[in-house]
Amino acid sequence: MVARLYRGHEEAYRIAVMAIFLASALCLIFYAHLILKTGAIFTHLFYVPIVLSAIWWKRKSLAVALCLGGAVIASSAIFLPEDLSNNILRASMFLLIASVVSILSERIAGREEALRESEETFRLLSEQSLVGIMIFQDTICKYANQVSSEITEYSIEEILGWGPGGFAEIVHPDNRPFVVEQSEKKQRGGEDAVANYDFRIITKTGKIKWVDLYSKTISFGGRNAIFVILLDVTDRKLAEEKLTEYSQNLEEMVKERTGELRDAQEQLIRKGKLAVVGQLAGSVGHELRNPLGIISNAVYYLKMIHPDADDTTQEYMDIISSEIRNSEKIISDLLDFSRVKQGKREEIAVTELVTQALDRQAPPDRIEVVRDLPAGLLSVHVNARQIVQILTNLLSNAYQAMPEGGILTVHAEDGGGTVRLSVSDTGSGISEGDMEKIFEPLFTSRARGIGLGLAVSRNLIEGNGGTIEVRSKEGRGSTFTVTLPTREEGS
Amino acid sequence: MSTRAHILVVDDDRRMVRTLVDILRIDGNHASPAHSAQEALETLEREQIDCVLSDIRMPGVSGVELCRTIKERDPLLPVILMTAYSDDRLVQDGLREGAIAVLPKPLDINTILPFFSSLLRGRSIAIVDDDHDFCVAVRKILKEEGFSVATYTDPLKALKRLDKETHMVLLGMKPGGADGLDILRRIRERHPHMTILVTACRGEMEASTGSALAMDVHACLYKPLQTEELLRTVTDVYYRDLGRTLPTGNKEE
Repeated sequence: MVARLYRGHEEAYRIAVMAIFLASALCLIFYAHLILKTGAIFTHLFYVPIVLSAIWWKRKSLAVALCLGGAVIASSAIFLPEDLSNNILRASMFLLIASVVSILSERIAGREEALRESEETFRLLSEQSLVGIMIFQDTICKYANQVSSEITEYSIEEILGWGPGGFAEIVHPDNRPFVVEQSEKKQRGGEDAVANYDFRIITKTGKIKWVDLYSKTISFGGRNAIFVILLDVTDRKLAEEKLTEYSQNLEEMVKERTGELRDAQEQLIRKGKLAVVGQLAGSVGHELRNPLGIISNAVYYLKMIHPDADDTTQEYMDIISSEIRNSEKIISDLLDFSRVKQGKREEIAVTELVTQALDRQAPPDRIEVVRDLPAGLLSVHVNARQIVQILTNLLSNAYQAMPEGGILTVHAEDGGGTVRLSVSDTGSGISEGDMEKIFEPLFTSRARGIGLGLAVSRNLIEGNGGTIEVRSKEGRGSTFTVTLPTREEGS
Repeated sequence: MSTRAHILVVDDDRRMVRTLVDILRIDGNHASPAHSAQEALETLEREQIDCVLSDIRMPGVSGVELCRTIKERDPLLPVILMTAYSDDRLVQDGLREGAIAVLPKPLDINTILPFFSSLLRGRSIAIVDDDHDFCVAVRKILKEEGFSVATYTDPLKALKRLDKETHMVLLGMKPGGADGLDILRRIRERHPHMTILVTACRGEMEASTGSALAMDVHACLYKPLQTEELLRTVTDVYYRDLGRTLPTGNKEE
């Protein structure tokens, strides 16, 4: 209450105190002199207001001293003329004390002001700063501002109470060795230390934040200390990471899209050829089947009515029959190729597919077939008829690649969501130049055939959600591998 | 009745008709040529035909339409279609119109000839029912249609006599069903592939239908039997059974 009153009316308060004091001093003096008749307390009482006013009003206190001195001299001249010289001395003492005290007081006041200003500046700098400021000495935090508390989520009191090495505790383990090493260098003098680096900290609530640290070796209390500025750069780092991620993704996306476009283009070319082949096949293939059927019937009839024909005639009739079958095969290939048939898919064992294909395309005498089909293979989810057709085609190709005989291996293995089924031969192999083209429609390396077998196979296998690829070495043999999905797509 | 089947071959390509007719004749069948659907229908009016083998794509009336017309006039006459076009839609259309099979051209003669030769031969049906009058009546109907029929009022006796020559069993379910089901189970155990038709009074079978179907019963007929329904079901099941030996153009029905 008093303090509050004082603050608003400082000057009035001082004048009032001064007035009361002077009044009571005058009363005391008159009482002592006139009633008690003693000179024990006289001018001494005036030193108190003079010193007070010198502290309060500085040089203006000389006026107070002059007034009081004048009063003493005047009263002396009236009441005690014999003591006048003494009283003049007393009055000059007043002036002397007032000037000395006021000069000292002015000096002290000036220093206080400077100190106050410096403190204010520091307080503003530190507390209003937008960055975290900390001072460490021997790994103990000596000072931490509000922002550093906000960054770390520990209160300033907690930070100051950490003890040696406390800050290192909140540094992310990955960054800790580096931060500790740097702080040791800085503590020693910091010639070889890095001024600025960033690292992660783990806040009180367990959040991971990226901070940017600027530090400098300073002298604090006469010894080395580290002055540290901390910036929370988490948002910036995240943005950077996102940007990096995005640019990487972008690269991948571009790659992916380019691949898709290339695939689409290849497919278009393939489908373009396919469309032409398809139209031809539709009109020619079907029309050929009728005359072919009649030839086939005619040969059958001839065979029936001449069961005892001579060997050559029988052989010739067999040749016609087998050529009819070949022609029929070519037509079927053409038609299969031109139609994109979506056959019904079902669960079927790989061994069953292989057995069916080997039944339909039995190996010639000089070829040994090795079935390398491990037990416990998953069933595949495919159109059995189409896959058997593909396998039959691969078998037929393999047999033809080994006219002198050889070993044909059918191998299957789990491919993770697929079964990889391969047909290998020990035949003539495929030249490097042909490798790229063998799946293209109308490509053939043989004198016979129109080059649709593998193209049809690829179309069919792709329609079944699988792939087909080839490895081959000229003169050593070829391996065709198809992947067959073990479950329905999308499930 | 002759065991030689009379087959009507229909195709607009004369040489196709000629070669097929010759082959069928050589193999011991009767065969008549027709070069259009119209001609085929005329021949059908005139002659006793056991089976029609027709091309699908013909100028004018197509084989599928011919099949439909034939089925309207004589539902029991088996029709086989053939086509050079491996178009799935044609195959489906043909099968929907009641064709036993749709064969791709060129025909695989080796697999077709056995079908025609077994068309009439060994069309034997066994009737197993404790109702003697029922046995007699059904035997009469089926015999007229060219089946050879054996009747058994004692199911245990039937069980002993049934053999490979029996193509189809017409099995009566006794009221209550349990007895018939037991016989059915025992027939199925001995002859896993035999065609079995079940006859029952309406309301009698419901409880045991599930068990009967689980034992691969081909059809269930309800008493009192309509002659037409009986014949249609029996011949339909019979021909479709027979048609399974044929190389159809589309196995993904």
